[in-house]
Amino acid sequence: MNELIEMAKEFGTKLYYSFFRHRLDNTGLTKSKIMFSNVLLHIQPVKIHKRSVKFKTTMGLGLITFYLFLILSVTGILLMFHYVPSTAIGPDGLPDAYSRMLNLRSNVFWGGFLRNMHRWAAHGMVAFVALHMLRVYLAGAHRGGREFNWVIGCILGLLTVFLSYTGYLLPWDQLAFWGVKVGTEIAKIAPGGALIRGILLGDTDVGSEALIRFYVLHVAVLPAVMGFLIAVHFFRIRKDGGLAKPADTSKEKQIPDEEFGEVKNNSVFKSARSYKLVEIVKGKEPKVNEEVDQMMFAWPKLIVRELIVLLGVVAFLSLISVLFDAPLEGPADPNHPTNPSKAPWYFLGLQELVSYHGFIGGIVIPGILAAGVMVLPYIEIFFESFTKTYRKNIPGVWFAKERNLENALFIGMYLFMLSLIIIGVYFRGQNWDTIYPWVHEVTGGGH
Amino acid sequence: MIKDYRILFILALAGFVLLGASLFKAFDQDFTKHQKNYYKQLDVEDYTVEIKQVNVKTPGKVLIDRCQSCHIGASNPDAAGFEPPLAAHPPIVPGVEKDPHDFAKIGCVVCHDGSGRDLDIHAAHGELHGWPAPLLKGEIAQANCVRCHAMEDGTLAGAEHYVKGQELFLEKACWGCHTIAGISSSSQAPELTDAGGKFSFDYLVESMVDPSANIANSKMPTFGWVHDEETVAAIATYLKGQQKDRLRSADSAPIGYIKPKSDLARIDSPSVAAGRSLFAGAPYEGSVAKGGCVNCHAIRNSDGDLAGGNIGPELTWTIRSRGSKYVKEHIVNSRSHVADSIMPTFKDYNDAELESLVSYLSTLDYKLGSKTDGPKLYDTYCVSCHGEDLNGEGKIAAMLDPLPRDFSKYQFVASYDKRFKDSIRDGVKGTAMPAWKDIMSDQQIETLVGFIKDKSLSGHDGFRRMEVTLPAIGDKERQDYRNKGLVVEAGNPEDGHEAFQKFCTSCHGKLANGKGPNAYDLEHPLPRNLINAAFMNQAAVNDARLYESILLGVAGTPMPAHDHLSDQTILDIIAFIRANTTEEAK
Repeated sequence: MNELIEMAKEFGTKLYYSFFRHRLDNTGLTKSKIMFSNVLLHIQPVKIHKRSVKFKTTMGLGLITFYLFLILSVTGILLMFHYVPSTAIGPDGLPDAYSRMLNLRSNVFWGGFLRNMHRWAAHGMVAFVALHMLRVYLAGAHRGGREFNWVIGCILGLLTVFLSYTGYLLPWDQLAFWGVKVGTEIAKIAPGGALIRGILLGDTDVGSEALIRFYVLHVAVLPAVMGFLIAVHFFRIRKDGGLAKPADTSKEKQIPDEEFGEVKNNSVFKSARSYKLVEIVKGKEPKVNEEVDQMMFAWPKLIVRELIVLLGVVAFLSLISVLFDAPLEGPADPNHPTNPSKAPWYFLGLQELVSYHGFIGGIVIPGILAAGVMVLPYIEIFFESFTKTYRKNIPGVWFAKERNLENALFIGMYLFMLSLIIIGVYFRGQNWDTIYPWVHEVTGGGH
Repeated sequence: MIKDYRILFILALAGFVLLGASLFKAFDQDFTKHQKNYYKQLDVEDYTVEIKQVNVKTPGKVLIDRCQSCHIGASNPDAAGFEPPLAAHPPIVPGVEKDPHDFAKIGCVVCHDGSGRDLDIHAAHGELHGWPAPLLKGEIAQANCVRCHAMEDGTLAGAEHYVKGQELFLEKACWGCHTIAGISSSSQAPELTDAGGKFSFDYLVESMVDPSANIANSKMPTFGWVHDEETVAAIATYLKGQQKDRLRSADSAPIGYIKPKSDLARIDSPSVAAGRSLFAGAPYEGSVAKGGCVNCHAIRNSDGDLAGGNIGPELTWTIRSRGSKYVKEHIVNSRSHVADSIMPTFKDYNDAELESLVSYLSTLDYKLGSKTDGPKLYDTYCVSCHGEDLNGEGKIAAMLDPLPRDFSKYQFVASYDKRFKDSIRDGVKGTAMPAWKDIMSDQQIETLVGFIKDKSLSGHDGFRRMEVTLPAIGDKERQDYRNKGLVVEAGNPEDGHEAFQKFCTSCHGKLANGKGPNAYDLEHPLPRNLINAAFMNQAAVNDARLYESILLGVAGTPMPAHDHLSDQTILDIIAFIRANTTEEAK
């Protein structure tokens, strides 16, 4: 009998070690191995700076954005099983694409929930991209060798908006059609915009060709590009030494060491903490200074905290999706514009600007803002080089005094866009007249 | 660290609960509850809860119909007393043993619209924003009878509400402006042949009750009957039934599909009684009524009691002031006399019908006594257009073009004495102002003018207008005042056109039709339509008047003085305006 148990144990051990290459105990070696011998190493290093897990450092904004991307990928693939990008009129007298939306709502088990998740996650992702960018700037994390990663981040932001926008058309209802129509009409104003619009739509107007092109962009092209750029974005953060942090963090209040879990020392050198020497990065000498004390194992604290954020996002999105249904209006009808016709909310600031002046509001201002924000770190460097006003750059510190001017301008720009969006969403009624949401019902889209 | 694990655990739990909630929501559908309740009430033990789906195949499409998942008792007579949604459907065709409509075959959406495949009540009933076909409840569903059925002899058993709407469409003279193929032909207002296919029932109701609700600059009048909900609902039901996209063709209609009768019984010998019926929009001796003047025009009986619509001018005096020839022409094509009239063209009337109408109108003989005082005269003859306050905003004024004269602008009243009386006596051609000389004596006209002047000028100091005379062409004494030394020549229409584009178009419009871009910001009175041939070619509108009006402006109106123009330019502009209207007259 005992022999049998022994054999079973041996089998179990072999099985376990075929999956994992480490034990599960509290030793530093194991903690290192959990990261080092698993795919986790591709995302996170073995050891991280203590401040990385502090809520205040990032507020988890970039992570939330990434999780939303994952959720969108999963729900999106599930939705693809039920969707046809066709405007052909089906036997029920409705365009196929729209008919599929009705099916999701009524026939497909759990279909409504999936669509809600996808819709709300998409809007959430645009919002969190913006918040993440705000955080990075206000914490000065776009400087100190990370300038190009900022540019990649900006491209990712634009991709997010474009992904959301291409997805907006797919339900082929009035909201989708006119929302996209408004956006593509704005594109016409730009020099060369008519050509780009023509390539995107495959036609002179939003129609069946546009639906197919938007679909392919939405499910294949853009996610692939996005996945690749996310990899580059993450890789560069790792190579830049993790999250941006000031040179000296010894004065900062950190999460106490006990919180990171006990580390059993099974080394033969009982007095020394040999694992400190693990941290060798090319081009830098082994870290033997104060900072080494600030480094902690990524397992389990960081991984658990990241899981917390993931579960938080899933739980919150589920709650929203159970409570609120994604909008679906009547089938797209090019002959009957909704009044007002509103683009999705992230374009409503633009639409509001266009309502004042087509070229200046639709092309010049947003063009300057988008291009300006993308090369912002280089503009800063340019001014600092040519005016010789070197400011001490303190990466990873919120609202550094040295950067008050920049931060104020950046916040001002956000407030400007935010107020335009709020005006566009809530204070615009028929014929783009000013309304008050507490007096009139707000209609026309935007969500 | 333990704290983190706890948070992780709680969130995992919350995530599972919420995912569970989403699954519960997907499972927990109303029809399950309804079906259990239904079988319980019927004391059926052995049943399965299931989605009841009917696929209604029509030549054009398939209607997916799952309504009876909730409305499960629709065709079960035992469920007659049940609460909705379980109750049996009341009989559709009155007085038959077994109703020919089998819901197991035709479903519900065919008649009631909504979204047949949805199981959630709000989605299924089409209550979500923007759904093109919201649920039609009760009688309104009769709108959809004609999707399959023909209207034999204009009636269909069980579609009384729809038939009533059809009659009202004729009686209320909707047909005068709106085309419905086979019923009427008019280009005045949007065609309604596919009204039901394009618009929802609520939209149709709203468009009748408040025409400008959906189209801000709608010209459709607000009729007096719009406050009668039953009338509006019946007409809207009829309109909802007008759908180009029908489910059955002539071959497959359940009841014989007879083409609508386009040539209705007509009146072939003129009589006063026939005219009265036409006027009232009532059927006359078997002919389906196609009249309804009374919806827009009011008349007075011999006691002076006024009745009728407030949209067009009162017709009590029309035959006496206009003559029967004018009235007949006006019915057939109102724009031949008044260029901007909104009155529909009733070109389908035959001679007998026109004659009947004229003879009926000729019977109206109400007249005031010769001793009547000013206020009474004004209140009888003038008030409906010129308004109680003499401000030109009488109850029918809004639909008239040009607008009635505003006497509260005392400058105008003070300026034109002779023209004032002439206008009353002879009327103003090309406008709604008739000649009153056959109705009022000269004495009465004097009294009336005196009354208006007293009322308009009281409280104001006098107003004196400059006097100018039309420059005589080639007169050496009268030289062009700006280009001193030049002798004025006959106006040149081409130079006038150029000057008109420069100085006049902002109000009078590029076409000189009085609808320039600034005209929309002006109030009563609006810029004159200068291509209104009937107006421009009457004797009272001579070159002297045009010259005076251009040079000095028109007192009490937005027309300003143009004393910066040279005499020659003004003469050119007059020549241009004249050339327009003679062209028009040809």
